[in-house]
Amino acid sequence: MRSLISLIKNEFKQLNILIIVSTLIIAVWEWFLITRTGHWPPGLSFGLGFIPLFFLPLIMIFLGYNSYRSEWDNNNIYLLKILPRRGYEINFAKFFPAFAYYLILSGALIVVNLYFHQDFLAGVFRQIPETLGREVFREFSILAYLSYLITGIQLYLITQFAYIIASFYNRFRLLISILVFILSHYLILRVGGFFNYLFNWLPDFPVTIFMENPAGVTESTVYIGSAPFAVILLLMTGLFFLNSRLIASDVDV
Amino acid sequence: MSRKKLITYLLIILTLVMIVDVRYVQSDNNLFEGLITESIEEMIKAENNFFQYNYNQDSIKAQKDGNLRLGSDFLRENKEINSFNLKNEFGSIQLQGSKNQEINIDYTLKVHAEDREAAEEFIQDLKVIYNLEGANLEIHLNRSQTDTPELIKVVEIDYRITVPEELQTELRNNYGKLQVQNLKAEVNGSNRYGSTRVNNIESPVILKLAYGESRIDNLGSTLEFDSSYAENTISNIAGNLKLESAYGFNKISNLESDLEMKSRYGGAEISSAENIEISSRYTGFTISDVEGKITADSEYGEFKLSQIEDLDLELRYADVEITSLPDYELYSYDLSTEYGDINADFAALENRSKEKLSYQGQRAKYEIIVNSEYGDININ
Repeated sequence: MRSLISLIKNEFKQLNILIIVSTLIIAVWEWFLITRTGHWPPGLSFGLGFIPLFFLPLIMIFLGYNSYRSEWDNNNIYLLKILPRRGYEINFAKFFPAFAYYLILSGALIVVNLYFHQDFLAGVFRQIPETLGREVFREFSILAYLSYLITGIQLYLITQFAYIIASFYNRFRLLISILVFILSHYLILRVGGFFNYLFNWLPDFPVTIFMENPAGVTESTVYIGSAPFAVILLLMTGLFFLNSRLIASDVDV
Repeated sequence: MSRKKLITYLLIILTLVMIVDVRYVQSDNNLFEGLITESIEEMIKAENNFFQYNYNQDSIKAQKDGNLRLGSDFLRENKEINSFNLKNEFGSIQLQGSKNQEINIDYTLKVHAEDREAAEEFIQDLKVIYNLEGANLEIHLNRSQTDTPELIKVVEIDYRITVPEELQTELRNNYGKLQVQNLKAEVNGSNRYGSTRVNNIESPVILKLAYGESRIDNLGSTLEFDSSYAENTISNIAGNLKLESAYGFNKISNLESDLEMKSRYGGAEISSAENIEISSRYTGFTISDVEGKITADSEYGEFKLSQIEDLDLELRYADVEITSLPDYELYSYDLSTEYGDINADFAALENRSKEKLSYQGQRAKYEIIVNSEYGDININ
């Protein structure tokens, strides 16, 4: 356990610069927007405050691609493979810091954005029934953030998988990575469609929504299928262990 | 076999599978389909029925007429105006072009409310106004039609508009009739939950309609048409017609140019057209009098064709019936089907299997190619 923690610490250290630089950039951006809140049209700085959320998945792609590439570049891959740790532990040590970074930074960004735009949000909620507005907002936010987190995990693991597959080859690694990246998404989308049937028994997510009609909006509850969420988590767990297995046993140094 | 080789073969096979799947299978079964539950499908249906159950003549508690006139002086002073933009959340729009250089908007406001007094007070301050943004003239009510005080439900507006015929128009309407006619400039329109009539337009038209019926005719240029849950009658179109249709029936006639059609669930009756290109699922077609080539990639549907020239069909789970060919000898035939039968009167004496037929007409001028899986091919 101690050596696993030590591995995780090492991985965190390697991410130090990225964490500091990206946190600073995002902090400056948010600070700039907060100072402009009173001067710009209502909602503009609130909306722009979420822009960094579009970049974090790209950073997850970068981290996934570099997770083992950096080991090859620094000639550490041999040392990594002879570590007396199981493949999934090594892979977890890579995955955990990246996911923690993604989770904390995106979560902090959302919280800061919501906190500093409470007046604007209160104004929005005043225009719609209080309970309906907050209820919908909470449900929608939870589902959207859950999807966002899954997207980040998916991008990281698929990119990592793409690089590991490409590392079987000596040439055209980037090209092969791109091909595997596309293929993996296609397979998840298509195979996931069939896996959905296995999880149809799961209770669906109730979501209160606005129904637009000539009178404005009315409250309605619809149910969103939960099977795709279960399927994607299952597939990602499988991919995590596949990556671990490939890096521990199959990739030649 | 080395791991590298195994992975290479796997990658090649999967890539080919992906290409074939994306290009040919076009199945709707994917991960995200699982998000759609019955309650979501019911919600879509409920939205369709909402209007007729909740708003009618009885719910109108106040009504008044009004007029907004932007005369020739206004248009002279604002020569940059080239676009007329109107969004009506609830009501109808009747717009027609005129040779006069003026914009005349007659309108009727109807306030649907729970209380008559509140409605009468509310309607007093209501009027239609304009907003000039660059070259775009926007018309709207001075208050929101749907975001209203507590006792007021919604403001319905019926517009009757005349604009200069060379003014481009962008119209968005909901829950009522949309009618546009006699314009020389481009039209971009959309309508949900209401009937639509568009005719005598000389420039390109873009339309997006849902839930209703439409009649579109006498267009001097192209038509780009996105339709869902609608019955459409389209005729006399000079330019190309690009139609995307879902859950609807389309009756199309007298096209002077090509038709490109994508369809899911529904039917189409097409007569008199140039080249036709079809991509469809669960759609039946009756096509006649085509002076060009019909190309189709379709599954689950039926094709009834008559008086055609060149034909190239790729079909799955779809029967095709070709009748009224002017002369069998004018065509060369290349027909094949898997898990289906070919029946062709003219080739009864030829040696052939039930699943393949090649026949070169004596005076072959046109070509009929049909590749089918799980479908019959009949030529009578």
